[in-house]
Amino acid sequence: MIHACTYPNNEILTAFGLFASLYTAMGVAHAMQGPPRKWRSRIVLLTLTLAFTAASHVAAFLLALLLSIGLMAYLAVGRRAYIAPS
Amino acid sequence: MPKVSGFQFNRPQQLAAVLLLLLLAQCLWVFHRQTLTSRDYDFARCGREMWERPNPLAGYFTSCGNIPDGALAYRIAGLPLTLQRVLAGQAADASTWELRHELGYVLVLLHSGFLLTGLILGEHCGGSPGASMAIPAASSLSPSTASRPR
Repeated sequence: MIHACTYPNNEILTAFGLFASLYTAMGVAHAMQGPPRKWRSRIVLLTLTLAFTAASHVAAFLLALLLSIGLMAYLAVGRRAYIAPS
Repeated sequence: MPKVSGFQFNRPQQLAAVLLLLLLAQCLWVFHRQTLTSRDYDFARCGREMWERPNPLAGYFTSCGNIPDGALAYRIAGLPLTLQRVLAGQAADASTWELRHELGYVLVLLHSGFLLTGLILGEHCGGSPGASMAIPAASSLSPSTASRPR
């Protein structure tokens, strides 16, 4: 951890972006159980974290995107149609 | 215990804060022992190029080569140096090598973005043990070429 914090590298940024994306995706899914006015800020934050991940590593972005969709589909009970509209 | 707008600072939070302070102290100690390497100069030079001489046609084709993936590390390394150069009133064409005596704490500035990211990651992962599990996961994803100047 100390090594990753003390030299220029993408790994620490990717780790942060991946963690933040998944954490925020779960936050969005939980917020979807509540009123829609509470969704917007969390969706904007999720977009920012995914952008951060993509800028640090593209493969990690794809992984974060897939895992986020999976976690949101699992957690957003009764609101799954919003995640993957048919 | 102090409670500010819903945030409690009880024993678990105090323990996490101590761990983060320990991580910060260890990183600052490492900074104190480090010297600038050629890798640092590459990241500083190309990061500054991205901020100071952006070119829509060239994209991320810098003097480090083409950087199709992982440009964020260059930008984070170069941003503090660019800001301090602007504040210090130095010429845009001054190299990081020339600026190393003009600007204070070049090495700390260069690495500060990564330290800050590590601290935030450590805070949210519940201290450095959680973050230390996230780093190998990211390393296994990230090919060494993605973070190495070419």
